[in-house]
Amino acid sequence: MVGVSPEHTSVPAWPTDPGEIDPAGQSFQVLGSGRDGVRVARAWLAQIARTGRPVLSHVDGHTAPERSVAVAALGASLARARVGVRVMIAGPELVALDAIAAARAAGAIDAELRVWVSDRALKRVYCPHCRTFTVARVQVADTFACGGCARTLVVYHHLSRRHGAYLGFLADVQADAGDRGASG
Amino acid sequence: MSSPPVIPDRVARFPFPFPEAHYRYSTNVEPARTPVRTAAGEWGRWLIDADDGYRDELALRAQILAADPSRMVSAPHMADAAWDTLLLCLGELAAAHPEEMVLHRDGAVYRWCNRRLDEERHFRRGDADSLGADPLAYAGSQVQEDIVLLEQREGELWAEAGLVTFAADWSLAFDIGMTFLEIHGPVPRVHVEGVIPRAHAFLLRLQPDAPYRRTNWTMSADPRLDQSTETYPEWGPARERALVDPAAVGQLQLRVEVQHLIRLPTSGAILFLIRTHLLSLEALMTVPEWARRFAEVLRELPADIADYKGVAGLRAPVLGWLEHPGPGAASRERQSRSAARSPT
Amino acid sequence: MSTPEQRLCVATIRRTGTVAHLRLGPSDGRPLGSFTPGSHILIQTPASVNAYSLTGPHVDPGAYEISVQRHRDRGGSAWLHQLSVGHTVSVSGPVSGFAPVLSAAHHLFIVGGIGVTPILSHVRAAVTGSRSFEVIDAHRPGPAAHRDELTRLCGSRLTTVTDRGALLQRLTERLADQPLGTIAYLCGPAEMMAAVRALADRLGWPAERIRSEAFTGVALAPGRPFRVRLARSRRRVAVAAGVSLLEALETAGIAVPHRCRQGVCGECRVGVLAGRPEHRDLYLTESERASGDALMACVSRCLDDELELAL
Ligand code: HEM
Ligand code: FES
Repeated sequence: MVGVSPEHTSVPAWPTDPGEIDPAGQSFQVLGSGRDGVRVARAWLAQIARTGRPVLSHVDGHTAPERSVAVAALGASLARARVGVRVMIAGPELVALDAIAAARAAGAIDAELRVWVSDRALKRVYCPHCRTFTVARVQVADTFACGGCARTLVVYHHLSRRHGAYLGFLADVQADAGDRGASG
Repeated sequence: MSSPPVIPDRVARFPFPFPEAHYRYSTNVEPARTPVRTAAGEWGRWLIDADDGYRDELALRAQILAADPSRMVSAPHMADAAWDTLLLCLGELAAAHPEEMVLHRDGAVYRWCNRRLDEERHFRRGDADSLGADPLAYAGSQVQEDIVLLEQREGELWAEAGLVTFAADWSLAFDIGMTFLEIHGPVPRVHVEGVIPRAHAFLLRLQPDAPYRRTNWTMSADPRLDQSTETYPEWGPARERALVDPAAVGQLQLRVEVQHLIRLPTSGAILFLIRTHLLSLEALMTVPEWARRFAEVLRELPADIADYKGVAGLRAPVLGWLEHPGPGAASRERQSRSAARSPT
Repeated sequence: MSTPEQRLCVATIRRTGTVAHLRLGPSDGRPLGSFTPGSHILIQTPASVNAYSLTGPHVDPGAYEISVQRHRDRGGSAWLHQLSVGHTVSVSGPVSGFAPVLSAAHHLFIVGGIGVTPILSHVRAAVTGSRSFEVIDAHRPGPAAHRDELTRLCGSRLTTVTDRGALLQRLTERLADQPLGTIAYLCGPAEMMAAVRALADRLGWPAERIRSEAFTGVALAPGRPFRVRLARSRRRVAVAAGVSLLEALETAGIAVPHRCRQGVCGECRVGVLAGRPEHRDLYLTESERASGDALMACVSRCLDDELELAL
């Protein structure tokens, strides 16, 4: 898109470096998903072990499942967490977004989250026309078929962290009108 | 020359948004309740008022909400802000229409009387049962404005609740929960040029006794108010048609939003009100200053802003039509540039 | 700019030790506006413009209630102390800079001495809104302002400590055991607030979770008076404290294009030919400020006594 500065859209530029743990953290919850996510999570866990601070880890296996068991476990244990906790999330973007949403829903704020994204292959896309979410292997500006209404949607550079989803909308409004006989 | 034509109310009160011959995004905020003289009349004396579309637009809102409940989002932590919103909306309506609407408080009980809608309610703040409705839903049933409520925390403003049925190509259901900065992510220029960062700083320190407003504009193919992303498959084709059918050009609408920015007194939330005004190009032509100014603005509009607003393709047909209004004007324009000026 | 422009009348005045409690009511019977918990008003005294927290109910208040601690070195408080019922004072509308976070899971209020004043409206709102909260209150042994009311409102949610050691111990326990989603609110003497912040920081609290009362920084200060010379019209205009340059020019019949009067829209830019501007806008870039050849007339002022403007 002309004029749109990628660093200012709602689509985050994830840090490329997993970084060190936050020494101010009093306790930690670590989520790792997929092969690379689990590797980064293990490195974090090793650093935390040296501090002697309490840690809970939530790890998914070597394949990155679409809906992560680890995310559910993270949300449940954060419901009992105290201020001072740091939440460390590593994995595919789709899982990381779910983990961020779960952590924020449990009351965590951005300053308490650390996120490392291994890849952005899968995306959840919201179709506002039929109000359903579809997970698809797409990039921004790609088109795909909505799982709800079968319309061809284009993936827009707009991302909701609350929904963990990108916005999609009808790619070719003319074709749609022709196909469906929809009128204004 | 004949006697001056009677200017219809809709034209006289239209908030024509172009004080200058070129348009750029800016942090164009100004104090609310300041009347503005235009070539056709005046707008802006009241923060909220009811115009001749009042009943129809409210009926339309009820219909849209019934068909798609996702146009309203309420949240328990924003309940206090919703009551603030309701009282503010009713108070402003009553101020603008004292002969038809009254908001009166007797101790803890409010009485709202709206003769235009044959409404009368007695309610206590915070008591939805006494109101017989959710306060946000009820506010939306009394004012033509769309409503968004933002909460201030972590140094950001978060859109947490709202009732939006007349969006111009965005989706409340999708944007809910985003920060002010995230919401404006798709808008070109405004971040690097500082427009949105300045607006953000301004909103963070906005105070309750100083409501502000701004205008925003776009074009649409027909007078349909609901141009939400949700219904794009319904309204999108009309815009495409206007690109190829010169007869449709006169029916294109200049769509202007008067947006109010208000710090709510008790909850401390930010209330964002959006009132949408539509004027067809045919009606715009009846005010020669506006037709001339709009053509200047459109001709000069940078490509990225035109693209974002979805008017890039409309530019040539509209400019042609503004010079030679009437069906077929655009194609005539292409054939002969020396055609005689048509009367206005 | 919030300025004390509303006339309110002293309805009652009551004292606790060195603190005077004033209720300020409308002199014309017009209802006063509701305010956000934690708000303050600005009061014009002969010596200065002072900020006082509103201690009374925040929804549809019948009067604005304030508590004034007498300071020997601050003229304003002594002046307020000698007022009696029926006197009128100039007061601003409520200014909010210490608001509750609506979505917080729990509210932890940490109070020191007279710092109780902005917390009262918070606690009252938390009680009526059934929000989860607790208060840690530190004050010198003996009676202190508003403590009866605070105790009545809080019940078992209040812990009182009367020495520094006990405060730090209690805070260490409580700061380490707050549910995720807690917001802490601090109001008290500066050293106490700094100590609490340092402790919270050590216990892993991000700064975003801590709000403290700052009477400054929300509303622009009235500023010092200065003069402008207008190069083109060869006129001189005086700008009084509390009046913006834009307003002073308008009063003198000199029109300057403007829109927001808030330093954000960029309309009221005026060229500066001599003198050092005090930039208070959000519009000019750092390098534009540094070059000092323009200012935004609606909010900015002068570091010295005089500016020369390209008007
Ligand atoms: C001073 C305050 C504000 C300024 C200067 C501002 C500015 C803008 C501008 C320049 C656009 C592009 C519009 C166009 O070209 O048609 C825009 C779009 C938008 N604004 Fe604002 N805005 C302000 C406040 C708000 C607030 C408080 C909200 C609350 C939700 C809001 C929601 C939106 C939305 C949803 C869009 C559409 C974005 C999209 O493409 O998805 N704005 N705004
Ligand atoms: S009037 Fe807007 S910056 Fe001064």
